[in-house]
Amino acid sequence: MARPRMPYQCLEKCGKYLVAASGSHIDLFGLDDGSYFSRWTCPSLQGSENANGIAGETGAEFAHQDSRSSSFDIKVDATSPSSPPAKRRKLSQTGDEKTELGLPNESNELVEDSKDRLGGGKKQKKQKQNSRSAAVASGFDAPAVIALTVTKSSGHVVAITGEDKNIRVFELMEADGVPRLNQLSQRQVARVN
Amino acid sequence: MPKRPCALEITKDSVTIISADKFGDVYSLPLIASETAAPKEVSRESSVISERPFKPAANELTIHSQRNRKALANQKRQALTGAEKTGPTFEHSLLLGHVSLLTDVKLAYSNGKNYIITADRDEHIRVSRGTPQTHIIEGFCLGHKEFISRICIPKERPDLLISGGGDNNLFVWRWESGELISGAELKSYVGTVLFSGKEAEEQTALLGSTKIAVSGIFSAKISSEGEALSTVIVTCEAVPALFVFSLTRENTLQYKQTLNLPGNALSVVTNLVASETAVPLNKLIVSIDNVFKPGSTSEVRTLGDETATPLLSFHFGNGLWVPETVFEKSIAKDIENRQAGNVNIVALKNLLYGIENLRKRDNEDRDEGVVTEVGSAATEDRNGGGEIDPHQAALDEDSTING
Repeated sequence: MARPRMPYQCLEKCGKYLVAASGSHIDLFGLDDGSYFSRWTCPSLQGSENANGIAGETGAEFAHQDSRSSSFDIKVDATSPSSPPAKRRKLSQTGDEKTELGLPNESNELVEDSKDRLGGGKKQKKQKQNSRSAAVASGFDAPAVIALTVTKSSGHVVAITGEDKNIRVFELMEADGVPRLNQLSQRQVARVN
Repeated sequence: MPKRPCALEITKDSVTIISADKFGDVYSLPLIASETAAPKEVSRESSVISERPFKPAANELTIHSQRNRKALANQKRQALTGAEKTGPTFEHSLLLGHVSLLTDVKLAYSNGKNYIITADRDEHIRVSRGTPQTHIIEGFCLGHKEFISRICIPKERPDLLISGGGDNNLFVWRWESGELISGAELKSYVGTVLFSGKEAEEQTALLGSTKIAVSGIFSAKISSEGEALSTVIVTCEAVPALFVFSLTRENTLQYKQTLNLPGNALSVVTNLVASETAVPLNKLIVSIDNVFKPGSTSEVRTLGDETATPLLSFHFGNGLWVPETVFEKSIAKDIENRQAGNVNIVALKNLLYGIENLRKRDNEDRDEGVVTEVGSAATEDRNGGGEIDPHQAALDEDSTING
């Protein structure tokens, strides 16, 4: 069965090329005759995490939390089994909640669990946000492009990918006569305060 | 929580990206990320933080019990990881802040000075001074009764600003003085497209309950018989048409033409020039939604009806825009590539149609089954008839300072 083709949500003109974003892809066309040149594909969230260490949103946050909390919380738990955090055991139901929401990170469950017991409400809230954005992100295989712009000199293309909140800068270059976008940088816009 | 950028601009010199986000902040970052920059000295925010690192009130000499010692160790660790968490990962600086969700940002130039113009969900268009004094607000363009979704500065008329959003009209401003020059009715043209098959009476009734949300305003310079015409092309969310206005010398928008499309208009590219000679081609390209039915944001096309090409081009000739067939061939040729893996309809809807969601909920409730006139009067009330709200402006300023 022929699947519907993804429409192009953003278009920009870049010199003699048309830059068109479709879902998590960016295509290049010639403006003169509409000929198709090349496509850049946003790496999927899991893929980017493994491939280059610059994690996508969900991956990054989970990794982040793990490293942060496991570094001290769990250690404390181990060294002083009678310490106050043990009282918060009931918070472990966050784990269940997460499973209900169908989060893929079930392998993290154990770590999460022990952490949640200590984390308290704030962490629980964060967890929920993560679940929600993960659900949104799961709509596509990879983060979708939500905005595109081109420099005046037409040398660079800047795109925002929505789900991982990255600003990506591309360089327009030609390889073997075929123009393509080469990603120069990817910066996740993290909340600063 | 990471904030999601929603609008982008690049400065004239192609070195700085200006990004606006859903928390109401505008910040700049270099186009080319410098790898050597240490996070400590690059950002204002991070330097503030690192200047005042968290320091526990106690130290090893003042505490005695084993438990307190552990608490202190924990505090120290937390302070360390805390700093790690708040430090931005790249060079950037905060320029200004709104107390509302930002929808669009544009850089403007006048008399050798540069400005940043921002539009938000709370009916404000703010004109701020350009870098480095972006905290100084030069003025506001106030008059919208609903959210603003797009602003546009026509290339050949840089003193003007055209804005649109949830209102039935487009607004034309002289942005430097904040003066509203003119407006243009848009909704009736949208109605004509959406309810074309209906009787006149029914059309009027349907139009009364319809809300429009401008999704794009594009300026297009066309040369016709040796004369340069300034036109403005407007798209509305979930409307399968382009609305063409001409920007007259008297600074008014004059309705010219409706270009019906086989799918909802998504994005437009204008001012195309020949690649070799840079001669204006009087051409535009529009991308359309080929998944959802025209005029709908929820109904998916049926199987036989998905043949629409996602990209169309139009050519201006004899005073009118007429369709071309340039893109259809190459799109069809490349059909294999373009097959989406799994199109999640809900996700696609969120991606393509987010603007109407900016409309405030209380308005929706109010308008249910109420005559439109009453509705718009209430809107006027709520916003104080479009008057400047100094309190709001003060709030904006505060948030900038605290940024």
